[in-house]
Amino acid sequence: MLRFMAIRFGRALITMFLVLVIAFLTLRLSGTPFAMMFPEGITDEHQAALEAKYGFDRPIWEQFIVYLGDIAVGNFGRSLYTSQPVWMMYTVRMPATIMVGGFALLLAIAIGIPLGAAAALYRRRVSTSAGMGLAFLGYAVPHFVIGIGLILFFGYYLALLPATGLETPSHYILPVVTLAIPMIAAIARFMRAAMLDAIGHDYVTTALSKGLTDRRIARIHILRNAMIPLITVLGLEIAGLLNGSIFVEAVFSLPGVGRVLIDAVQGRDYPVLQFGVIAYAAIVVSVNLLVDLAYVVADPRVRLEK
Amino acid sequence: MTDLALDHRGTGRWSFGVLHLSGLALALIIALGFMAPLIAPYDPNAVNLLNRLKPPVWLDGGSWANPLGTDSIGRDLLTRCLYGIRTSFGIAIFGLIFSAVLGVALGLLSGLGGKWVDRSVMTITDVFITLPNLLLLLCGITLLGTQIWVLVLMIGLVRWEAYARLVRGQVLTLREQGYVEASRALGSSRMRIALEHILPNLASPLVVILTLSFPGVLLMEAGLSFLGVGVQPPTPSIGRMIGDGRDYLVNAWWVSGVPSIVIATITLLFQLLGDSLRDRIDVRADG
Amino acid sequence: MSEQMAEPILAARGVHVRFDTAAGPIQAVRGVDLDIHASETVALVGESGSGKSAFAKSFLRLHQPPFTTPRTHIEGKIVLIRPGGPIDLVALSDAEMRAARARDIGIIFQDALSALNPTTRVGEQIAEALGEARPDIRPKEAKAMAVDILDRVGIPDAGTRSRAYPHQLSGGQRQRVMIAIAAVRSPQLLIADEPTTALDVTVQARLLRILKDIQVESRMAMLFITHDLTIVAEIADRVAVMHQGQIVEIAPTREIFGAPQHDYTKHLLASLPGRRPRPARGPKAARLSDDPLIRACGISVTFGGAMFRKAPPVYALRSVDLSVYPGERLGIVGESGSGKTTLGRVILGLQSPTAGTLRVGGRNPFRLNRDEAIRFRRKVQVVFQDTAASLDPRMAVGRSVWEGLDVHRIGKPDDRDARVRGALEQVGLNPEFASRFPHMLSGGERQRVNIARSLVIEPEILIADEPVSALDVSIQAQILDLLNALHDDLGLTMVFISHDLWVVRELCERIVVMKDGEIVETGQTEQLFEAPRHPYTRDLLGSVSSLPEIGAKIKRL
Repeated sequence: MLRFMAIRFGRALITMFLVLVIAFLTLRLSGTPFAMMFPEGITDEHQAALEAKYGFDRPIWEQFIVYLGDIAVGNFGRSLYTSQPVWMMYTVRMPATIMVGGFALLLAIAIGIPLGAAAALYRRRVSTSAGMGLAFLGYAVPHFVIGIGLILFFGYYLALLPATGLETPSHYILPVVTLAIPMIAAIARFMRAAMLDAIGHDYVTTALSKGLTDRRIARIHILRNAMIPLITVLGLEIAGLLNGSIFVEAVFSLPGVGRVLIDAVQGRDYPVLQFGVIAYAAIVVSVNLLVDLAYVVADPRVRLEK
Repeated sequence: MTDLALDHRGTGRWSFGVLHLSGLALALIIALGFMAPLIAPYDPNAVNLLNRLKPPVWLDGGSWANPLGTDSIGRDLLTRCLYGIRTSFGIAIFGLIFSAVLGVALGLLSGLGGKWVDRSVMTITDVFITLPNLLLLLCGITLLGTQIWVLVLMIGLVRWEAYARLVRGQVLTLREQGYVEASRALGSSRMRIALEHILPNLASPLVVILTLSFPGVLLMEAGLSFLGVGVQPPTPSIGRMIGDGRDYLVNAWWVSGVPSIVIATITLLFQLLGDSLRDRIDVRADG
Repeated sequence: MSEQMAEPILAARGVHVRFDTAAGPIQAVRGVDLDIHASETVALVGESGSGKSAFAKSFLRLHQPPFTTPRTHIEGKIVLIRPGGPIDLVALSDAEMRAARARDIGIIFQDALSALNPTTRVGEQIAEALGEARPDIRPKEAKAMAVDILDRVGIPDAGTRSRAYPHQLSGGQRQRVMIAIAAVRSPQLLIADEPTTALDVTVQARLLRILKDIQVESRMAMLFITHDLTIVAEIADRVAVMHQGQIVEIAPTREIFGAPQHDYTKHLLASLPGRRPRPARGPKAARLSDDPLIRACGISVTFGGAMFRKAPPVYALRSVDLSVYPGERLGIVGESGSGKTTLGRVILGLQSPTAGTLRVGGRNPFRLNRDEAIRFRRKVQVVFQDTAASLDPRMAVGRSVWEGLDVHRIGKPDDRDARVRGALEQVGLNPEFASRFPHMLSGGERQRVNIARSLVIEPEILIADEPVSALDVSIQAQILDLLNALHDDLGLTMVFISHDLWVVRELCERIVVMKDGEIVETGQTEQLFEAPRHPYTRDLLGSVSSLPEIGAKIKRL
């Protein structure tokens, strides 16, 4: 088990290293930032002096080592426009993204798992079929369409909820729900499939032959086994949250990190974008490690591997 | 036969109907999109400021002159939707083909090549899976700009890993099948086995996964355009139309709403088609 | 024994079981009557699809998992006489049925690995069954009883093992856990549904012993479902033979074997390997004086053991020497993991040995250039166990047979079709089969196609890896007859790999016994059966009883 985790950790480090290589290379491919800093143009000597000052004249591997060193001490560079440290630009925006994403995740787990489980156990009921029908809609329709639909209906038609910004708690409702709907759909659909798969296994028939109640069979023998593969799906959903939040933040004009990223793309502010990529990759890699760890805890077949 | 495992599938007839209905509806929508220059009532970029924000025909003030209404500078929404479908499908289809070719080639290489080929390809795949698609797209666009070929290229580059994994997994399974062993024992060459026994058995899961992932590709383009970093004006794009219409949600919901309904319908139909295809053909995508 | 039985504890009358499927209803059981008496063992014998399992499952309504749409219809009466008075199992409410499952009848399934919950400790799975049957027992006591029963079914160090998960136990131990789950509640009736089928013969023998002991200790009646008549003789008091959903004959074991009445019973017995007359050795019998066609010296195959791996390498073969002479039929016998399949793959040239030399027809198959390799392939052909997996599901079977002709450029393109049809006829199939797809064929037919595919390119050596293990006995017999006939007609050299001594005995002149990657004994068939020298061979022979022995046993009764 320790060996298993050590291998996973090693693999995560390799992945992170390759991500840094890619980020570094694209940063260099995007050209030197001086053209951007001096739109009126600079002389060749001035350019050469700047290149020497910032180390652009060194061999590429030396630049890479300097780059790694910078990252190791938390120096991710500055925005080409505002000259703010990149790190700062993200930290001020982080709370909004984390709050909306976190609530959405909790909501998705709280609704998605029971919905999927009920849909597998009680396939004949109208309520579960309707629930899965809605889940199907949520699975296929993109965030920005869901968001606009919710704004139109709850924000303007019923005028019940505020449609933009994050000032009061009620401001959170629509963005959180928008972000949660596709996740609910994905979790419920997966949960249903995993439960159906578990029901078909022989050990459920064994449980039945012991004279157990349906309730106990569902809880101990079906649900417990169906939850294990769900770990992977939850990991993917957490990793996918940032994707979704970029759109949700755009639809609802929220002060989150999504806006920073889009502005960076539109302005070709590469240092800012680059931080986003590295941070995101780090989050995904950590989530994957957590998923592996969760498997170790949840699944004896993994835990007891030599 | 004694144990009824049949119970977990939908009945054949229902998925038959869904399969054909959704397929037909999609074919119709795609055909309309690609015939846009022939059937659209207006020029997609004809500005008419006197005729701005006209509602669709079924609302007060709407008329058959602009059946789906007009946008903030008086362009006909029906026309722009048709052209938008053409743009989106064009980008998505070429992106998908590019990524599928890349993925299938790398998957076959990984599954049929030696141990070290397999390891290197899988390491690259792992890195690409870790990198978020959207951020990769944004990086590519930042570097290369927002031309249409960049979108196709980048969509291809960020989507291939799923197909590579599927193909590799299938190849590894197929390679162990008795009929591949038997064919090897007969003296068949690697090439013959790959072409005669492996590729044909790969075809149907590949069709399913391509169908299932098509709406995702379509939404990538739509999403980027919605954020303003995809297809650039004046080229009509559904995503861009939704994004631009956000400013008029309060008094002219249809500017965003109509293209929203269009894209939602298309992705739903694709999802239906993909799901019913998958019900018929069991796909295991474990790598 | 059975003559003195007074009251039956279970009486089934006119039981019908019907499944609704998408393709229409299937009548699996058609009017079965059966009595089972206290402490008695009744064997229910039949081939796959005979309805034996469907009938037994109807006692407890186990045909379908819970939470599925009911598609099973049971009619008739199944009366269970229990201390509180008789009850009709067919008519019970769901709650009453749960109580009957918990207290009165226990069941053991074939595949213990899938029948045990992979994420729950085995002790807990046993205690759980007890908790439902005897609510008066406190959880702590239940745990102690679980350990106790594990000990009784012969699991060493039961206290520790009760905290293990199923995947940590061996196949035989898992099946013991299944027995413990069923027996811990001391039910009146134990249903054992092919409980030893997937296991090696030596494990099988020990397990049957335990099952019998537990049955006697707990004074349970047992309904033992199997397709294997040789097991039946060992443990059953009475035998019921099922065919196409009906019991065609039921009688005390001795009568079934001594004087079968029904044609189907006679047919089943006649198909039993060991019961059939040994085929006459034709003029083409082995010419042992010649040079061997296959000569293997010191062949070893090692898997794993790569760098950075702590897991020790697995030795699939350890320095194996083997010679096969032209025209000979050699049997390689061993249990799972003995290396017999790996040895076959080495001779086929599909698995290169880590050490040792191999000569097939004087050539080393691993040192051939392209053309020589193709010519080698034409000499040595193979038939595998899994009939379905051996044929490409997307190819008409004729095309599968045709493939070899194309690879080896045999015949002109237009007379290849004729050759394909000829090969199908040779294996006893209508040439019309050429255009069918594998899923439209039965297991026996598919195996004939596999044989045709191998033979159409006219090899000298045919390696058959468990070619009949997945088939019903009567089909088994047909395929063995076919292989015999092909040997006599074509003078093929055959290497026949099997776990089943009786099947090998029927076909082969010489037998090699393998264990843990080594050959432990080699000998002429008769000699090996009459005077086995190695203890393991004696073990193997002792764990399966031949019909003559069964006859002797029954006479002693």
